[in-house]
This record gives sequence, C-alpha cells and structure tokens, in this order.
Amino acid sequence: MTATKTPTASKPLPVVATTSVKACCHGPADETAGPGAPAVALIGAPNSGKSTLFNALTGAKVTMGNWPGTTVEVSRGVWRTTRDAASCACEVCTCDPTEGKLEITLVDLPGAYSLTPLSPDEALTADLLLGVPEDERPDVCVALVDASRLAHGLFLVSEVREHHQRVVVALTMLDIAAKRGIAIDEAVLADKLGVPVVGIDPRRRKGLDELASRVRQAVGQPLPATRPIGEGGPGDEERFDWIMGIVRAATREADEGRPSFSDRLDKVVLAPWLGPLIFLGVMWAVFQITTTVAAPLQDFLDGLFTGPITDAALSGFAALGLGGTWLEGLVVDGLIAGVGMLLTFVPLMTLMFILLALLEDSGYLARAAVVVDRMMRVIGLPGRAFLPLIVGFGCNVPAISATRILPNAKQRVLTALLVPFTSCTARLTVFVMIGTTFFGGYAGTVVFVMYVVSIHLVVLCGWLLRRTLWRSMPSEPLVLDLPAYQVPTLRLTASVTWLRLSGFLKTASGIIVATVCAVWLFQSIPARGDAAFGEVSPADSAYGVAAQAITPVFGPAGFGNWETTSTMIVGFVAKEAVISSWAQTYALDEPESEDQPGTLGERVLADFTQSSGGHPVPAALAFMVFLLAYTPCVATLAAQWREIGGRWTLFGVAMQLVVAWVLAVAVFQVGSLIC
Amino acid sequence: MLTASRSPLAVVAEQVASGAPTVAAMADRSGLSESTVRAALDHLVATGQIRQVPLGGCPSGGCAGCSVAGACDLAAPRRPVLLTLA
Repeated sequence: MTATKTPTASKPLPVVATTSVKACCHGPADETAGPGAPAVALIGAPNSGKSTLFNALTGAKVTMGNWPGTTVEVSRGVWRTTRDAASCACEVCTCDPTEGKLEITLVDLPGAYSLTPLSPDEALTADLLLGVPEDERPDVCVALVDASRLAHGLFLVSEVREHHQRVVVALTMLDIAAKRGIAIDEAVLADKLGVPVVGIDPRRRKGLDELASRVRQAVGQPLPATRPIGEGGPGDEERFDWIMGIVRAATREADEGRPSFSDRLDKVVLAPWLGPLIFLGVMWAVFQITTTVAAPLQDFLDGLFTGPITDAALSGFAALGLGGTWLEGLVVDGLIAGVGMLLTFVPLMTLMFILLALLEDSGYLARAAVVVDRMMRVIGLPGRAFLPLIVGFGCNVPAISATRILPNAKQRVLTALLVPFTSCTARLTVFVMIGTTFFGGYAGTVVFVMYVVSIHLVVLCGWLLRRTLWRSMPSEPLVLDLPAYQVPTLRLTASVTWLRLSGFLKTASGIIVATVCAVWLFQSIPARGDAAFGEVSPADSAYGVAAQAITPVFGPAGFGNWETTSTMIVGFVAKEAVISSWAQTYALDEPESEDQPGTLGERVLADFTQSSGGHPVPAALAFMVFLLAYTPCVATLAAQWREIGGRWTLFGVAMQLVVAWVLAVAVFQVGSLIC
Repeated sequence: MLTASRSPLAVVAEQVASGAPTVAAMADRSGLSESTVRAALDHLVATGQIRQVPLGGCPSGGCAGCSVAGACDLAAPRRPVLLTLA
C-alpha cells in the first residue's frame, strides 16, 4: 500500500491585521454603532451565507473597504436590534420594544474554514479572533454553519470553542439539508457544542429575531468555558472526531444506513465487467438512434441544397448574366455545396447533443470516467491524464492546453501526444457521412466502433510509449467524486444542446467558408495543360495535382484516388472542412454531366469502389481509421507546439501518420479478404 | 476493511493514497459511512491536503478554438470531480 500522507496542520500565514475589531469600531457613525456598543463578528466558511445575513441584518447600509493595514476587504455596518420576549426577563413580556433598542456594530469577517490560515483572508479572520488581547476581540461571534454540510462548517466552531469566546451558531441552508433528507436537532446540537444554535433563512428573514435575541443574551454573559479537548490536545484529527461525534448525535438522514438509489445503481453500472459493457451499450444506442432518426431529415436537407437552392442560385446568376463565371463557381459549387453539406448535419448533431446532454444531466455520463480511469490504471498511465483526454472527445485544442494540470513533464508530453487520437466532434460528421453511405442502417454501429477504436488507440499507444520512452513515469492515485443520479431537466438539456450546437455551427461554418475559398482558389490555378485561371478542370488544377502526388501512398489502403486524398490534405487543416471540400470537388468535377450520380454519397461510393478494386466497404473503413488516427488539425499542432515544443510535436505528427497508415492498410488488406 | 479505531481523516487520506476509485469504494473499503468519508474529504480539500479538479470542464486555455466550449460551465455540476493528493 502506498504511504499515507497523514493530515497535518498547514503552516499558518503571518498575522496581517494592525487593528482589532473593537478598535476599528470607533469609526464614522454610518459604519459603527459608536463607542461602547457591542461588536459582533460574522464568521464562517466561504459560501455559508455570511454576506446574505450581513445584508439582511444591516439593511445593506454597509461600508466596504480594506481592513486597516491589509488588502482584505471587510464589510462593517450597524445591526439595530430590539428587545423581544425571548431576550427579557419578564414572565409575560410587557416591555416597550423601543426601550430595548440595542445597536450592534456588525463586522463580516472574511470567509474562513479554519483558524490555521491558508490565505490572507483566513489570516485576517484568525488574527482578529485570536491574535489580539481578549478584551479587543469581538463580544460575540455569530458562526454561520451550512446545515447541508454540517461537519464542514463546524470545524471553525471547534477551533473558536478552544478559546474563551462567546459564540452563537446560526444554521443556514436548512432547506437544502431538508431536500437531501438531513434533519438536524438544534437542541442536541446546542447541547453538544455548548453554545446557542439558531436556524435562520436570511433571504426570507426567518429566524433573525431569534438570532438577535440570542446574541443580545450572549453579550451580557461571562466568557464561556472552552470545549472539552480529547487526549493529545487539539489538532485536526481530534477536532474532526469531536465534530463527527456531534454530527452523529444531532443529525438524522432519511436514508441512513440504507444504500441510496445512486449507490444501488452504481453497484451495477460500475461493476468491473458489466459496467464497461453497459457503457458501450449505451453509447452504441446513442449513435444508432442518432443516425437512424436523423437520416430522413438529413436526406431531405441534402436534396434541398443540391436541388432547389442550387437551381435557384444558378438561375439567379444566369439572370444577372454571370452564369458560368468564377463567381458562380465559388458561390454555387463552393459556398452552397460546402455550407449546405454542413447544414444537413444539423438534425443529427442536435439529436446527438440532446442524448448526450440527457446522459450527462442524469449523472450517468460521469460514470464513464470511472470506466476510462480503470483502463488508465491497467496500463499504468497517470490518473490525471484522462482529464485532458476526456476533453479531447469534444475538441483536441483545449485538451492539449489541459495537459498543463499535470505536474510531471513526462506526463504532459505523453498526454499531449495521445490527445490527437481522441475522436473530436469535427470528425463525427465525416464518420456519419461515410457510415450512412457505405453501411446504411448500421451507420450508428460503425460510428460507435470508431469511438471504441479511438479509446483503444489512446490506450495502446500510451502503453507502447510508456514501455519504450517513459518507463520511470510516476503514477498518481486519485479519487472520483461522482454526482448523484437525477431525472434530467428540460432546461439544462435544452441549454446545453443549444450552446453546443450553435458553437459547433459557428466554428464549423467559419472554417468551411475560409476553406471553401482556399480550395476554390487552388482548384482555379492551372498546374497542367493550357487552361486559363478559373477554367481548369479540378484534376489539372494545383489542388488536384498536389493530391495526385500523394495518392499512390494510399493505394494499399484502398482509397488511392485523388478526390479522396485531397480531402485528407484539407482535413489536415481542419476536419470540419473534409466533407465540404469533397462536395466542392465533385460539384466542379462534372458539373453538367447527367451521367454522374447526383448525391455526394453516391459519388464517393463510386470512387471507393473503383479505387479499392471492388471492395468499397473495407476501403471506407480504412479511410475512417486513417481519418481518426492522423493529425486532427493545424490548431492542435499549434497547441502542441506551444505546450510540448517543436521536437515532440513533429514526433507526434510522424507517429500519428505511421499509426494511421499502418492501421488503414491493415484494415483494408484484411477486410478485402473477407468482403 | 481498515480499523475503525483510527481517525477517519487518516483512514480517508490513506484511501486516497492507495487509489480508491470512488467515494463509495472508499466507504466500502474503510468501513466508514459515506457521509463520514465525504466530510473527511471535505476537510482534506479545505485544508489543502487534497486538490479538487473538475473533470471534463474547460481547462485554463485553448477554449477559443473549441466549438462545444459554450456549454462547459453549464454542464460542470453534473460531471465528476477528481480528488488527488496535493
């Protein structure tokens, strides 16, 4: 077993305040209650509701500014309290409330989890509570404790109670605790802590009168005794044990002792063998539903762009006398063909984003991290490496940036080299297009297989690199804290879907428009023959000739035709532009031939059949594998160059190209023997 | 199962160091209740002994080129959180 890091108190930060709470209370009338008025400090962990309570008690008549001698911001105000039945000694209160007015100077101290400070804010709080003589300390501390995280909030209380300090505990977030099935017995809590406890809701002004009453009572009390301290003196472990004893005594959870629904479900979906199978089944269903349901809509949109919209544009150019010009070629064969092809994927992307958002919101998708984590552990990859790798399934560029979180340089380089193997959203459109063209109703399964291949590429290449280049890389333990399952909400699902879809369309359309213009330019430049600029056939253009130069390399993989290899050159720039450049090439290739099949898919199928010698299916699979494994885009290269340097970036490009080519050739050669 | 006589803080820190994959697994292995494990992790995070890394959210940079970055913050609460020894 790995050596344990024993919890120890962190080194305290130096004292920072030069003025005590009381000394600072002798300030202008609008921020203090004047000399002699009691000073009450609000203390508590960050996000415990201190500022909300402070505003409720002072009516938001607040003076905010840096505490003298520090750069820490502190709020001060006047809390005007009146006497009520609870704070007077009458058996039946007949006091005039106006006679019992008491103004209190209220100071909202910076949020602090502990009096062993880790930040200047916590240092100031610790200093103002303990770093000054007792008579300079606040008369009363109101400690805000989040009822839904009782142990968390009580740590500060446990430390303050080690000193002679008047404390009133204000329990906040009781509604959240109730929703989680946590019931707190305030009387028991008060008894165990040895201080008054008041449940409050500052937003609805509930419990504030009782709080005022308890504070006024405390002001007049002698300083209390300290809490009982266990053997060995106070320390983190002693305090935690004291707190947990109190929490156990004062709280009751609705499902205490019984495994929750999430726990029961996790027993199944996280089981060592069944869990990964369920995860694979769920992801297969996502892709299958997506491709099946979206296919008719996609066909309809495809027909719309290649039919009426293209016809209308051609008629428009003809009417303007611009028929057959370069402008018509750019708009009709470039922009309409390219952007239109992107838009045909809108139903598919929408459906997939909806399904993924549902899985994410339900809490199931988080379980995928456990499955991936297990694979990482098996091959000895650093646990934290899979943070960027998971980001990579959305986009490789931020995933490369995310490698910065890895503390070890070898881990950063290794992870940055593996990120390009994660199948980003941009590749998905190509997989779907090829899948629907070559595999019909099995398109979803084929796309799913590509994601499985992607995960295996990461694992295998990572394993190989670890066994060869970085044998001494340290591994790191980690824990995953998973959210509870819940019924997905319409609002979150819709918002996440819209943001992802609109973001994808915005980015992809920008890339496609730029790429369409560049492809059009290179397809207009003659490289063979004597045709003029803009009148050359694509095969004889600079674009076609460059693609033809690399085409023989892909002959063994079954897709050795220049129309296909040209898309891989474009795909090197950005995968979003692969399909648009394909559409652009075919639109220009035989624009007026009635013999040519109409749709892009049919043209691609015909070319693959020809280049593969009658084995289009294995050739298509080989093409998809190559597309998955080689360089994702130039933006990823730039990110790699920035994060791990030029040498490793070039190594990565070479490794990806070799892996992609070897796999593609293997897939085609084996596949062509079968079908 | 680890001895219950030791402080839960030490037990949970040891569980993290030994690579327990989830909070539920830590509770199972240690014999502590899940709420005690969560409280102990909470303490270790608050005192800087364990680092929390939201998983799958946006990293510190590179998001400008990511087409699906817009929904990262929105979906973050439904993602797992990574806990590692600081």
